[in-house]
Amino acid sequence: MTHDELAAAVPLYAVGALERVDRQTLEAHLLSGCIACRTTLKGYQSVAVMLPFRLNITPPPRTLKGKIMSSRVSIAATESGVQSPPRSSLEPGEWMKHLFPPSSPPITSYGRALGIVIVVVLTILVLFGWNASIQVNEDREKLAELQSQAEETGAKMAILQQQLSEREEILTQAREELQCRTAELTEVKDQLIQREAELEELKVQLVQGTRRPARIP
Amino acid sequence: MELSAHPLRDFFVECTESAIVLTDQRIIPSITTINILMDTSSQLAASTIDPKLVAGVTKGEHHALSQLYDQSSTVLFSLALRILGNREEAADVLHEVYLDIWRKVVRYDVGRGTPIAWLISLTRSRAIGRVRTRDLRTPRQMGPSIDGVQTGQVPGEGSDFFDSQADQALRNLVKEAWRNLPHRQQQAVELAYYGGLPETEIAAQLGQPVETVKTCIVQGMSQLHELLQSYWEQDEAV
Repeated sequence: MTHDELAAAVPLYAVGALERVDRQTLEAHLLSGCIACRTTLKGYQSVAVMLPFRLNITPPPRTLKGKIMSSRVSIAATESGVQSPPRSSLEPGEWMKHLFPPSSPPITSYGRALGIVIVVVLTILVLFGWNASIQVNEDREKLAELQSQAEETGAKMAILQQQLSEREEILTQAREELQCRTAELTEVKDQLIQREAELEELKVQLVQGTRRPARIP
Repeated sequence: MELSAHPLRDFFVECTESAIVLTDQRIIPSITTINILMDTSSQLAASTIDPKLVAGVTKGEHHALSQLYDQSSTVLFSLALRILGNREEAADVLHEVYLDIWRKVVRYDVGRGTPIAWLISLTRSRAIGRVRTRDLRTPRQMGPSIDGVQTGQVPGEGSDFFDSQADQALRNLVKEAWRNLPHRQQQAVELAYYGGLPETEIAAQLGQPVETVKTCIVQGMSQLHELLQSYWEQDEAV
């Protein structure tokens, strides 16, 4: 609904003719703080409450006042200061409580004492709750810190493991290469020994050849 | 002071009973004359209830409750009776309202209007709540206005029968403003205010489109607002 539509619905609201959905929409709008609509509503509500003044006067039964006054006495006797629970339904114009905070009603000495006790109890509870909430917050912070540290350590461990596995792999490759080189070296050694042996044999043959007399044809 | 205990009560009853046979126009001056006398000794106007009186009730002052009843019960009963159409139920509603104020189940806040405006809103809300509960059992068929027809009114019965001068002036003003409204607007506003019906149901009752009903209510309320506003402004200026 646009603002104009809401403003147009104010007289209908004041006289109680709005459908539930429209009423709730307008109440939400009034609670949102539209000064113009609130002022208009006050004007129309003051007119609506004047409507019963045009009715023909019909006095209540004469016994009603006595009945009310005696009920009041019996209530005072039975309840002895204990208030009955509030009604579940909203009273007319209840939404206005949100706009205009109700003036503090006069209270009896009993009510005042009860009020003080409630305030003290509430204060203690609030303090306890506050301390507990501070401690809980601190614990939460520590826990979060520890968690972050654990996560960091875990990440480092993973990196180290990865590095380790890489090193192992390199080492294995190096070992394999070393073995290859060792095998080649052994082969070369064998060949060298064989050559040395051939060389010795050739040396022996050479010595034998130099001792024989030369033949002249 | 309770009117029922007033020494001049018999005299007033006599005056009223003799005046009641006359036309409305002649009754009003008679009652007004009596009220001038009454206002000198007691403040019984519903329209001039002091917020301090309501505060006194919530403090548990018995005489405050008694005075609040004296000042407001007639207009509240007339309203409850108009909505419910039944004297016993109307009396039950008033019984509930006054006891709830006494028990502080409901609280008055100056920011929400005059005490009588608050009391009227409370009574209307309770009475319409009863009508709706009743409707759950037997669907309602709003009849014609019972205002001005037999309502079980007994001359002289009740402590507030003699209207105060202030209330009488207000009644005349509202009646005059109401008379200036077209009949269709009167019907629509009545069904909304006293019937507690939403616009669609009013439209169904009157056999009119919803938009027409809306317009009727808006125009009617605006006209009443203008008339009453100008009166209040003049009154404040004086």
